[in-house]
Amino acid sequence: MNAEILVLAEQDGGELDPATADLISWGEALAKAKQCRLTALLLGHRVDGAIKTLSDLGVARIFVGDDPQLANYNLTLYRHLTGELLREYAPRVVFATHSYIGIEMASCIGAQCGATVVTNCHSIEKAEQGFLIRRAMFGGKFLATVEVSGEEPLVVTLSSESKAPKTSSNCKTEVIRLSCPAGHRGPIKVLATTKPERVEDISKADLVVAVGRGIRDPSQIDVFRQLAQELGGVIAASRPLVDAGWFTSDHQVGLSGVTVRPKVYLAFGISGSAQHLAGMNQAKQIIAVNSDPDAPIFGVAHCGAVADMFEVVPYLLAKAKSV
Amino acid sequence: MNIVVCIKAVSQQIDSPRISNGGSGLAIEGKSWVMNESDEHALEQALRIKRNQRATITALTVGPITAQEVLYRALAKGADAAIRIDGDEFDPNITALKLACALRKLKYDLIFTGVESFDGMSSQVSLSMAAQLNIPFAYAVTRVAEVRSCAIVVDRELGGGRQQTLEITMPALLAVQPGNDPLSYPPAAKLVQVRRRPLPCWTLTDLGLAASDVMSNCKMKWIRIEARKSSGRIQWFSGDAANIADAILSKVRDSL
Repeated sequence: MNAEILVLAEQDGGELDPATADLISWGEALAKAKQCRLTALLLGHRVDGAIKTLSDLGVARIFVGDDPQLANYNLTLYRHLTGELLREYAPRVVFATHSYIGIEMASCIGAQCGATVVTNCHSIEKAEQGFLIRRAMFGGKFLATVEVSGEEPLVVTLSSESKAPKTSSNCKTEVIRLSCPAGHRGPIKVLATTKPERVEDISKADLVVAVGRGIRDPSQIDVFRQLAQELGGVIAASRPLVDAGWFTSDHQVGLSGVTVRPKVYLAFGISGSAQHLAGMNQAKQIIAVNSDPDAPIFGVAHCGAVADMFEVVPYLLAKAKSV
Repeated sequence: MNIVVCIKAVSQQIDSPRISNGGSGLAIEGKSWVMNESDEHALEQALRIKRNQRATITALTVGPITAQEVLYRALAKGADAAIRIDGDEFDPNITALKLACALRKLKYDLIFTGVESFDGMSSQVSLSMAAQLNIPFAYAVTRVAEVRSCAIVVDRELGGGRQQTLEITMPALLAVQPGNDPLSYPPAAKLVQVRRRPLPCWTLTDLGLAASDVMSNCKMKWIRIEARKSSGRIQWFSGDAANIADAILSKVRDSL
């Protein structure tokens, strides 16, 4: 079976990771252009919910590894299974999300099938020969377009900033079960995997007031917290403020922290590292206030003001209170 | 224990990167070259190990002569040796190839790198290197919990707040995610003193590579690079702080 497109599906607790749905759209668009079939690989435990979602999204074939040993990410086992799969099956293009797991797996699969690996991509399209890929560089301030030949298999990781094309497909899904070896050992042993209890779940809020490095002193946080309360939303922060101990990790928006998709995302003093943007760029209305007009946050914002946030916020709070 | 730390010199002030050599490279001019943030945290992890046990740290970088600055900084912070590998390609595949060849000439139990460079943003060099050297690796490591005789215990992030503790047989590669551990600052006198040390520079010949090996690892052709200004659809609010606050509030109300 040749010329297929493989998507590495990610799941958490048996449900499909929302970012994987975007990969499927990209995969389908390319499968149409190349007239080939879309296949997904799904590894986890009790993943029927994720299988159903993949099937609803129109994936033609799903390789599923469903085993208690796969409940948490395990590079040794995952790599063993992709190695077995790639012996039988040679995809031309492999899609993964630009997440920590996706980055590791993309590199492994790239090495296993001698592929060209291009990471952190915003878009991919078929060129006359090979592919044209756009990716962010220099802290997100520049976008580069590169061409890869397509002679070798291609593995790409897609950034959450990629705007997936709209596709539709309604084919019948074939599910193929993979068996997971018992007691498989490798040089990496997982001792523990933990998911912290969330004291406050910011992912469900309609409005998020997020603060970043522009806050220079923890005493300045309170006014933003009050603003969040007045507007009926929650307070959140970018990674540096969590690392500094000013916020607990359940308030961290970004790749390492929480992904939010609120109706309104107010960003104050957040420059917009790729890490951070990955956790919030799907918000419906992004309003950013930053003193640097070139801050990458303005690349994803719908509304923006180049201003001193400490001058703006007292007015905002007073007006929010008066209504 | 022998530790190698791979670091990159990056500039946060890049004006206009240009495509060079007919699309095979990227020419960049920047000011104030500094050690890439996550690479500096990788170096700190190595220094922390060295504080607790006998260890020799070698800092490696791939870059032109301007990249030397970060090697001096690594020496001043406590690295024992530093080597520059010559090169100005802007391609993670070529950088990984050169570093892997250099590492084959060195003794190592642990290799540290950062998770991602500020400029290239590919997160690829470390893992590609580990694949070429055929050694185990972990990405997004935030803490080295324990160093045993032939294995290391580390904490790493999985994203979405998930954490994992791994035991990895050495030799191994760890790609370090900046965490909450503070950076150390080398004394000024030390920074001056290390500049007297000659820094070895390895060329392709030293690495046992031919120019054709480099060319065959050049998988990407640069077509275009452009500044990403604000998104085209952005609506700007201007005026004084009160005007901006009004505009923001009315937009918030419309959107909820």
